[in-house]
Amino acid sequence: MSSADDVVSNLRGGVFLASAIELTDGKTISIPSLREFGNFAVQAMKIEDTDSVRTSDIKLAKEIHQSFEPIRENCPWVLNSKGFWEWLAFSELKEYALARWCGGSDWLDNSEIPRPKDSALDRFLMSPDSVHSQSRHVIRRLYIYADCSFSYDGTYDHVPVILADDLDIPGAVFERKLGLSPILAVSLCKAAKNLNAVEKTDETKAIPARLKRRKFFKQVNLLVSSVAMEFLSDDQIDVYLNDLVDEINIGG
Amino acid sequence: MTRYGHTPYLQAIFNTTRCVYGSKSFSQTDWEIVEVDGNNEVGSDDLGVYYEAINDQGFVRVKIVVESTGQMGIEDYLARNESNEIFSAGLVALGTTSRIRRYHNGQIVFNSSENLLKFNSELTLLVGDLMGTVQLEPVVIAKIDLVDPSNGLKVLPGTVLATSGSVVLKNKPLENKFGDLFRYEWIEFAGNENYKKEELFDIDFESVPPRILLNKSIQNFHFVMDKEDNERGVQPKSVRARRSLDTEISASVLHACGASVISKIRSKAAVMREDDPEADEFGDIFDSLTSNEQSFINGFRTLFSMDIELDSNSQFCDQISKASESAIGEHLASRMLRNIQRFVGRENGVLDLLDLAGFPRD
Repeated sequence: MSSADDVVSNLRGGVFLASAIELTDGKTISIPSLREFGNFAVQAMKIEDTDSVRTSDIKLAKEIHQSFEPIRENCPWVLNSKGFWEWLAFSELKEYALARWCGGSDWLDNSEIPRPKDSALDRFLMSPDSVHSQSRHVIRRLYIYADCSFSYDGTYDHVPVILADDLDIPGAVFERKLGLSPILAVSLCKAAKNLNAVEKTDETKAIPARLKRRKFFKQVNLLVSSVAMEFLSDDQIDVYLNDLVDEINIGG
Repeated sequence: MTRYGHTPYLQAIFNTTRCVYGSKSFSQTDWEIVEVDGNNEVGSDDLGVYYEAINDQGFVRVKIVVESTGQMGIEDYLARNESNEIFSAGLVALGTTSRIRRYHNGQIVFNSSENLLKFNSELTLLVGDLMGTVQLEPVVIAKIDLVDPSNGLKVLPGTVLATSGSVVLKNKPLENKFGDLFRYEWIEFAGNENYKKEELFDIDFESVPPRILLNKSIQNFHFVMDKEDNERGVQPKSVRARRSLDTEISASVLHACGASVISKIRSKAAVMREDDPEADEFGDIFDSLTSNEQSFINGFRTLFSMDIELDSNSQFCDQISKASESAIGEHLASRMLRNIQRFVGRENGVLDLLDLAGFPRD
């Protein structure tokens, strides 16, 4: 059975039950239900309209992060738990996850509707040691974006920067170890937004923004192999990254 | 040292002594050394410490102390650059599970009487904050624009000038030896719809640890291999015959494990391509594999890899992901099989597999 088959089985079976988190000293900790947030996001999202999806994601990211404050303070290890995130995906925020990544839940009951792609179903599972898996998980990705912004300067102001129009950008940053440093991650997202597509003219070929960003992140990976970005201030990082952006924009 | 991949700027490598201390108090200075057994399965230049060793002794804090020994290989920078405040020294902390990527300041001072630089870095961490693998890499970094004494080239701030072996805090892997990776069970294949009655064994990768299911229905197999029967007075077949069977089974098990791991990597790569047709980096797949699968790659990467001896598990995943179907098919059927057969033919511990299953050994 593939991992995608497991996901389908869990979505149909609903085997994940909510329960309070028990700490080692026998005390329990509870967080407010997230279902209301998830349901609101589902209602606000029109899946064909990327703006509405983006707006819903930004709002939900902030709400999840705020709700988890007691966990961060009392039992941060829970945030590393595969079971916790998969419980959120399969139970607490199931409707949101299905609407956001699987086109809704009708296919679960109607075999005539094609099953979503495996890559979408895989997003319900999480390997705690893999940054790639963490940042692709239907729920954890939102938490990571909000936590990155919050760690950067104590606000959620950077979530819209991270969750840009082009989801390739947070993918390129957070699916790699670059996203582990909030300063570096925010700087990268800002810089990558400045790489725009070149339209076709009589003299030049069209260059899609995606191609430029791919080149940018290759250059960044080369850079971090010899420069300890963790040591640099945000201003110094911006200088390095903006130089790369300029070079790529000029170079075409 | 641990900065694999492209290294456009040549970094010096310096020797260090690295110690990990533990404290049972959150505030006292009751530091005790955490005894490290061997290098705990990390790179030969790195010092690995399992959380098990820390937790067993009841430590709530750990202190990592790194000091350089001898020349650091960057002393000449001082002669070519006017200021003495040109270096920053410290530890770069990287942890994927706990999502850490930080620089911790240490000290570097020039000892003029010995004409060498001295590196020193200490870092105290709460055990409760540690999750997954946390790597602490000693580095010396250019604080300002410098001139490389060896070639006169400009070196920008932030460039890593020198590095040394890391301290790696990690969970103990399931087991270290091949045979230890498995649990063994004898079951009747005959009459079981999941198996053919003539199959010797099957591998259940899903359970933890993975199980080798041996077919009790094959009488000779059982007689030769089952210790209990031998203890009841059934004579084992000749040692040579059993050894031959050991080798064959070991090779088949290894091959089945390798094929399964390769199939899993390729299926994950296919999912990545489905999502992004231009995806061209697959090394991170390693982190998303189960601990069973990671253990196999760790232990047998050289047998499972296709062309060259790869330096890292990530490179292995990348190579396997990028190979064509036909190349993989050929690899499984020829090269990998030959590698494994050569490997199990030697006295190298793979034969322990059957001992661990409770099989008699000569």
